[in-house]
Amino acid sequence: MTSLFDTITRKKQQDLVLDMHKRLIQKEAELGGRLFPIDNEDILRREFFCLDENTWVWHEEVRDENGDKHIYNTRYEVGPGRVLKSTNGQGQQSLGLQEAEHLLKAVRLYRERVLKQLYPNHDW
Amino acid sequence: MSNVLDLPGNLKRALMGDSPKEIESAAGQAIEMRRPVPALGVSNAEREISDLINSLSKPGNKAVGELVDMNFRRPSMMPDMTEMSPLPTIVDAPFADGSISNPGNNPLDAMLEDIRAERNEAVAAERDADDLRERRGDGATITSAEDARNVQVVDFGAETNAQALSASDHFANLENAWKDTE
Repeated sequence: MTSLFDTITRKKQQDLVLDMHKRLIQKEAELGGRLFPIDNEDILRREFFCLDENTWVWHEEVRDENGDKHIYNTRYEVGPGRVLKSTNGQGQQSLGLQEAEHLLKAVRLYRERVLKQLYPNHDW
Repeated sequence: MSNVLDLPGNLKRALMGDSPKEIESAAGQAIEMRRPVPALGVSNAEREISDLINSLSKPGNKAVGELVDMNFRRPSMMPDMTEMSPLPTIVDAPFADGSISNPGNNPLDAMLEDIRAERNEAVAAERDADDLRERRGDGATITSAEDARNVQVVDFGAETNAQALSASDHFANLENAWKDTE
């Protein structure tokens, strides 16, 4: 029979794993954001990460000329031979050549400079 | 962790704390859970975006930002270009030269160290709160930074107030640490 202690211990361990999983994604996003230097004081934050096997997220927080903060969440959904982009839940748009090239470069840098650093014991 | 907080002091603190072995084990499980996702994400993206670039590079091919065709998404998901504003995207951001700025020597180790510190702090804060409850003798339950802060308004003498401040600081620090991760 499972004791209360065992139940709580197992739950605590599960919570710890989930907490670390969340933190891993946050760390990927943070390191991914550093692929793009913040070279302007109006850019407050940048994150870039792989959400799931088909989705990449570009997050940017900027301040406009009035000092108001704006947050942009852009999702890139990778499908067969094309990528769809939507920002802040607005309509989806297919990706153009320049942005596709930029995204591909970002993905490759993500593997080289984020995944290899964060998970060094794996073959990337 | 609220279920843990309802337990007697010593057992509660034992359960709240995480041994290095527990943290290492959890980290291993979390990595195994997460790592395949970006691995697959990178390979999918490399393949599909490369195909897309090849396709877009051919003369007379699709225009940039073309509307999505009906076969790829349900009609209700069709984009409305009139709603698209010139929002900044990844295409506008320059890449960093060389390595990532301040990546840290080992980001994973740093993250685990943060977790250890937070957990230790939580246990210390809970111990302080238990001490305070014992001194007050009223069995009050302190389960949050707000509770600990509220205790400070009661004057139980210099020594007890010092305990209250200590517990309050622990909870406040813990709260801030969690906010930083959100």
